[in-house]
Amino acid sequence: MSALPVNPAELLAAMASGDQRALDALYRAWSPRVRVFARLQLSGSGLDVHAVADEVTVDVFHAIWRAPMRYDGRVAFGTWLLTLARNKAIDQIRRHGKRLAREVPLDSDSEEQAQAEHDPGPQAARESLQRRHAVLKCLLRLRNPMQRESLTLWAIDDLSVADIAHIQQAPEGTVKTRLFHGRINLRQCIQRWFAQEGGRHG
Amino acid sequence: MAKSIDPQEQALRELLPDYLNGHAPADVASRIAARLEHDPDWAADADWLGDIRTALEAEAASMDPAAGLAELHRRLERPGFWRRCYQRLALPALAPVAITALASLCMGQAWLLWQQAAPADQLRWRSVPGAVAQPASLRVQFLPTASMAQVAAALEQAQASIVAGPLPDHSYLLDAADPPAALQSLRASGVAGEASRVDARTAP
Repeated sequence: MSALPVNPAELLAAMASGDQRALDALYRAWSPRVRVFARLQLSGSGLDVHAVADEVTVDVFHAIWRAPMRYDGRVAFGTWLLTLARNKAIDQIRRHGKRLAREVPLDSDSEEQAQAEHDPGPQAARESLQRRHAVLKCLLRLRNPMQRESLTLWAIDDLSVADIAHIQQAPEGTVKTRLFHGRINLRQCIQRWFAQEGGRHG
Repeated sequence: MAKSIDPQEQALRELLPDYLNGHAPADVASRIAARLEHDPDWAADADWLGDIRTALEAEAASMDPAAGLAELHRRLERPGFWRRCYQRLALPALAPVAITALASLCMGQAWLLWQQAAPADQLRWRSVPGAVAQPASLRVQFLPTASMAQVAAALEQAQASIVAGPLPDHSYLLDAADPPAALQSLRASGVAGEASRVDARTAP
């Protein structure tokens, strides 16, 4: 067995010639980022975030397998891939979201409450783990989904403001503002979260 | 956060994400690096962004792609829409239906072909409606040994032309300017076996 290339463009070329191992390599390398991004995209939609994010991830790579040469190299592969994931997630929200929005309140904290019940607690966890947990919770709680998406795209694949603007189809100035206010809101949320957790466990 | 921020300082601060991701231009990068070194508020802001990156990277790293990959393989193995239709049609239970349909189609085509061939048997020559038949004055039976050139020369010499024929008895009806002279000429030509005058009223 020959070694597979790691360059996405080379993997896509191999996929175009029917090499399924290239698809596997691409999936292993990129699907975790797509799944995290999809989960954050779907939060607040009222959908089963984990299940639908997994479905979106598989959808994305299935679509790439069917037409790998749709990627023309005009933007970075990560930008293109996350745009595809974003569109699939939006499709899922449109397909199921309206129906579910009537059944489940958008700001439902049920998932977070369920997680809190299984949390080992700050005392048992290391500080970095606790901080990571807080960041994720607060990202999910951000009321402005565009701020959440901007921060996620920035962090998940080191995208530039220009890349994020391309994905969101928005001016760069708007993206800068979203990133700025997003991290202010996130910081306030994390400070509140630590204050609550400190009060609960302290 | 309540304090007013200088617009230029604000614009520079909005470039912090690009700086941290390595996308800031060199001149901007040096200015931001200086701020990060000397301004604790800037450093804290960069730390928050670093926390977001660390949290998401850790979350991505904790995900096992095996289940998703297995689901993807299942999808790839699932046949497409047209293949599923073909497979459904190819079921043994549907074979009699398919054979009956094909046989019916063949029988229908055969019946249509037979219907088209049948009228050909009933074809008949008919006079052109409204056309006036030329009068014939002579009836001639050419010798079977006479060539076309000899017949044409005899007709020219007799100043006669064929009006109809061959008739069932292999004779031809001719129209001649001077029937008696033409009859004599034809008999003398040696190409006519039998030649006779035709009464215009009894001509066919």
